[in-house]
Amino acid sequence: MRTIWICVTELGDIAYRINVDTLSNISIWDVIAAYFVGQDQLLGTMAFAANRTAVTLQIVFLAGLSDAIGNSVILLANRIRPFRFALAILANAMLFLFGYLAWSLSLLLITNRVFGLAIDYPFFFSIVALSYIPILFSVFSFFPYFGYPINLLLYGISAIYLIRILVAATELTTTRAFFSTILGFVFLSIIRATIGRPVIHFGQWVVSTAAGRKLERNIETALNLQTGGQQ
Amino acid sequence: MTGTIITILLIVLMLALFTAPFEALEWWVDWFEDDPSIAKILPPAPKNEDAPYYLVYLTGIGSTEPNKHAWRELQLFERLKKSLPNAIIVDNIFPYSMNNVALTGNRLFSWLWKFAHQTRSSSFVTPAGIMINFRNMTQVGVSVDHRYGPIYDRGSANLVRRALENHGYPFESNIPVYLLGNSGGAQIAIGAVPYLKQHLNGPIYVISIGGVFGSDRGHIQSTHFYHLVGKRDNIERLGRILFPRRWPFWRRSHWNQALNNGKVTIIPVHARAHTGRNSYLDPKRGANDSQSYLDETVAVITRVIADRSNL
Repeated sequence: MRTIWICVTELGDIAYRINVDTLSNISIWDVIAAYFVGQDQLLGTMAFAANRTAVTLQIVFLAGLSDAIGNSVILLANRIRPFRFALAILANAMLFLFGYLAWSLSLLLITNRVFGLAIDYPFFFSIVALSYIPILFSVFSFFPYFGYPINLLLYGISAIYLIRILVAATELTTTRAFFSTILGFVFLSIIRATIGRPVIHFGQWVVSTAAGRKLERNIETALNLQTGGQQ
Repeated sequence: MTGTIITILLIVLMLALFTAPFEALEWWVDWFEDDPSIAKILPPAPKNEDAPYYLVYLTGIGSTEPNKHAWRELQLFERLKKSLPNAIIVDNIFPYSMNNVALTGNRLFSWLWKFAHQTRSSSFVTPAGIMINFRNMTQVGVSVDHRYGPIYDRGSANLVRRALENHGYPFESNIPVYLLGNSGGAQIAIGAVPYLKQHLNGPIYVISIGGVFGSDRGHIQSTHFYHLVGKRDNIERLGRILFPRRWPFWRRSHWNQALNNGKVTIIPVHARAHTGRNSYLDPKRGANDSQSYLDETVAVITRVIADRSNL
């Protein structure tokens, strides 16, 4: 079926029309560039691209990689060797991808069951991935002192951006998009703390296997373990 | 053109910030199997059981080498030696390097630091001075950071411990150690306290000269923390703003707990600047003709040590 995506600006003008059948493949750089230009254009360029699944996975994987590098101090506190470090970073990035899937499913469930949103699933997954673009800059959380607040800020921007995207790309109102995000987060947190625990343990096992040793998640404990309680 | 320069500066700034924790992390993981050069630089000396106390000086962020001090710092050591003749002063630490390696020493960018060191005038407000200050300031940021701090502070404590060994400190004794931290050196000192405590039996006091520091476990764990604050030291004031855990709002922060428990003494002095002229270490100028700012700083340090050591 031929679909036409029409983007309307806030002033009510039709900004551009995109015929899905004529869309060529886009690169992740197109999407990142579009992110800085404006949200509507971003939706137009990615959500209907022929290779959107690949771009979706690329965005999330790279965001995961960036996040893993930005927060790699815990791996280093466990004194793992360079090759294992690289493996553990990759494993973390892969797990981040699974985290994204769980988050998207959780959001989909809430928007669908609570707010009655009927939407094309791959499209929904793609627009959720767009909200991960700020996290591509999570590597900056490696900065001393300012790094941790930067990380929190990026996740905050990501959450706000998700709400904006949901409003722009679906029939949800701002209030419903906001509560979808909140409820989705609560739902996922409950799942993680209950029936999702074995999956989380499996994830930790994967990273520990990649790192070549059981990783201690608390920095001070990790440092003490390495030195037998002494500095 | 201006845009290009700003872009380049921003990239350099981000690279500098990104690489700031590298030295501490490399010290910890030892991927490149560093030559334990510290042992060569600071070999242990015969034990000095008779020393009444040790005074360990941790320099400010304008420093580049462990064994070269600014002339005002040399004046400080001179005066301290006169007013505290029995003190063992440990002054060969570069607290912004885990391995005590000078910026101009065995490093990838030593050529850059040598150039900066040579071109820096007595003023810190030159491009070279700013560069050195910024580099060392990022290390203070690493120490304050709750993720990197435990690693960095272990390194600093290790450095202080070796420097004490180098000056014959008997670790089985109860000899007090005074960590004298100037500016950012106060953060390094307070950060090192919890880890240094594992090796010392004696009390550990920290004396901060216009220190710029965050809220740290060391504030609770040090025997006492003395903080000299100049009347118009804006950099010290900036530290109070930059580190939110020092705001009175965070009642449970280490800093506020230490304040409430009487572990902190804030000593106002007349110094009117953080560094250079009119600063705490200025031997030429003072609040009155009879006492320079340096004289006042030395008098305060001497009084603190005399009170604590019952001299």
